[in-house]
Amino acid sequence: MKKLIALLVALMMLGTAAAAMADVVTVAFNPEYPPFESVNGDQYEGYDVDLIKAVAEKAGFEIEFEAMDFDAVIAAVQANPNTIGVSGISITDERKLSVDFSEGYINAGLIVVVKKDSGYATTDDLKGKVIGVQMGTTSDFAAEEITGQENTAKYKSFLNAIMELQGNKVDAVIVDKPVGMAILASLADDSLEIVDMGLQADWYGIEVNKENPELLGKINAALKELEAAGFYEELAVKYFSEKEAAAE
Amino acid sequence: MTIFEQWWQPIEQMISNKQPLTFFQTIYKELYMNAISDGRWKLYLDGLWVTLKVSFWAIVFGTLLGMILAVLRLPDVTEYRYRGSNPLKKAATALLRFFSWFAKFYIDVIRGTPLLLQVLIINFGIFGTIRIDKVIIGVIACALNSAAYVAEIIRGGIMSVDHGQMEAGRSMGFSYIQTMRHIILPQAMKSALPSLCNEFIALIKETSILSYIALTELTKAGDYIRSRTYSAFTPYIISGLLYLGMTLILTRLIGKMERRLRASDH
Amino acid sequence: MTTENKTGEVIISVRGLTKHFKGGDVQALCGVDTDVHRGEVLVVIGPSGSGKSTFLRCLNLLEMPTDGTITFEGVDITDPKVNINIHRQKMGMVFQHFNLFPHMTVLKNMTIAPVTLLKKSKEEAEKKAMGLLERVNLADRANAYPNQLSGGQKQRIAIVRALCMEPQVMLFDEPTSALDPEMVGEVLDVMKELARSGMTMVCVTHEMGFAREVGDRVLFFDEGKIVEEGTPREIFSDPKEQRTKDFLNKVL
Repeated sequence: MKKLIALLVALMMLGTAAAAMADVVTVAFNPEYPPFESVNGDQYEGYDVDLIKAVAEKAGFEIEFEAMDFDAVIAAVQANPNTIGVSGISITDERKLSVDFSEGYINAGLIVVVKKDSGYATTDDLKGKVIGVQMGTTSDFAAEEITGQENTAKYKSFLNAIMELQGNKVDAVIVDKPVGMAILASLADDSLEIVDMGLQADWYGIEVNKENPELLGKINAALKELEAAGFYEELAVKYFSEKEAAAE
Repeated sequence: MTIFEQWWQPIEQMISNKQPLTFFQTIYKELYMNAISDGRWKLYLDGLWVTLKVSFWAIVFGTLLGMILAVLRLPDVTEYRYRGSNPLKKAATALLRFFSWFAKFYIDVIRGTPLLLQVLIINFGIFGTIRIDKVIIGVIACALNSAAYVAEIIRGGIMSVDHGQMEAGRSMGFSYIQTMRHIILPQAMKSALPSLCNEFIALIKETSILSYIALTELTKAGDYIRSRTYSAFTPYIISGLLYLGMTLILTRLIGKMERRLRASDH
Repeated sequence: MTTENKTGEVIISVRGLTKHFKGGDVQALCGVDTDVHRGEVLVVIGPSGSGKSTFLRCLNLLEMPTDGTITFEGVDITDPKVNINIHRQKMGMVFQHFNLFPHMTVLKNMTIAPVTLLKKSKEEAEKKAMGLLERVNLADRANAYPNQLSGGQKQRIAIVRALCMEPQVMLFDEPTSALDPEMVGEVLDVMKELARSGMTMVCVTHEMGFAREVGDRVLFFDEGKIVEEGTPREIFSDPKEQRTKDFLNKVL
């Protein structure tokens, strides 16, 4: 038993042990979430990518991107104080106990994707129905509130949830508004439609290791400057408006 | 307020005040967040139950199908020629040869492709528009996969049984299938048991892949809690211990079975 | 005793029996004709590779003849339309290597076929099996597993296992060849007793003493053919063919 505890602790302390103070900050993210992050050829692009590049420039540190599963971002940040997570991550109170978050930089709102003939218009219509989501996203939390944990089908990627909706295996999919717009525009599936049920989303924040308050301070300062300079609006125009227009 | 919450509150206070936690406080924090608060221990048990259900039925159906595939791959079948002129028997022989060929094809394809792809194809392709319990899809995918491995294990077991056993059975008037069932397979299973145990342990662990199709089995339960608490390791360690418990129990059970079958050895 | 005439009806009739093995070069049997009469003890002898075992194994189609017919109780069992399993139930077979089922007790070895194939009740089958075990003095080993028995015991069990199906004829394929010399006697005693009880038997064996004592007729095989046949006295005391003489000189 003692050994087991020692092992547990050793694993949990991995992050502290590896507190190397390099100048380069690693950005852990999952580039399968357009328009926030995606891969275009050999380039990463998206709202989050542009944002963190601007932050790094303002705060004066180098960044390198490291693509991984959404699940793995959590561990990557906790394992290394010089790794940050920028991947459309919702800020929740419970998560704040394990990692630090920057100030929220966007709250894009949630939309519901349903079959056109379903007639679902409000969240009440979705009670007890099966709702597909990407696990751990703000959509996931919203879906649990509407239909309960047991009726929330949690996928590794929201794309799988959309596929199941096309196959009638879930009744609705909840997803971030810009993400939903982008995917529907590229799918061009006439049988699907978007409903705005006025769902509240969580703010997205940049995830920072608890051992590195210095870096957190730099990032928050940079975000404040960028917000004051109107950079958020600039990004919104670049990434959301044309996609929304295309979907509507 | 439960005793667990009473212990938790000062720690929560310390975290929000950014005070460093002691060693034991850190452990309690991890345990409280990942297993106690919100009744999360129930999620592990639910996940464990789903994993057990899927594994059990996948082992049962996988072994049955594996036995059939194994027999279809035996030289008795692959080298069988029908010399008579009865058209019905001719057709039956041709059909048998087709099944034998298909069994080989099936085993090659299943063993040569990743389980994850098979699961995704079964869920999004074959059951693309059919809404059934994900547990059933999980059982089908895992049983179909395991059958290919079990088939080769049992085929090896059958080949290790002395040919005289088949002759003795046939000479008494048992049909080929009856001899297989009553005489050859029980002996083949005995010699195949250690390898089968390996396969079953692998199968239990591989059911974790079903989290990709939103089946909340044990790994998914850990993933889920982790997505809420952002604890890097603790949910995985808890899930891992439960997997270890399952495989250890299975190993013991099969060990017991082996000892009982060995009763005929001395 | 050996000259006692037991010419009952013909139970097995073999005509033109031919067997090629895969590869085609070796012809194990070339056109064998003979009849087995009810109640007769037919002993088959010959050098190794002469086809005598193949001949025996063709009788219940463990080897599929390439050509020729085998008529058992009036039915041509080489006809593909015939369900051979039914006819095999009436032909007991005893193997050189016993081939008991190692995962079953002696009693289960003896009752599985009657219970499964003849639909006898378990009690009835066990009663019959126990009776037979007593006849061979092995009743105390009923619940033993085959690997706990000596070779001689195994072969005696194998014989009574075949008898549990109440066969019309018993086929013996060198039943004493795999035994330690001190165990040959106990098996031959059982076979002699069986012969005296009137069982029809076809025995491939190297035991010339047994052939002489209980055989009604002896077939001498060489190169896939019956070279000579006759009563044991004719074959052993006054062989006509040179090949028979050569063989007997070597083994006697």
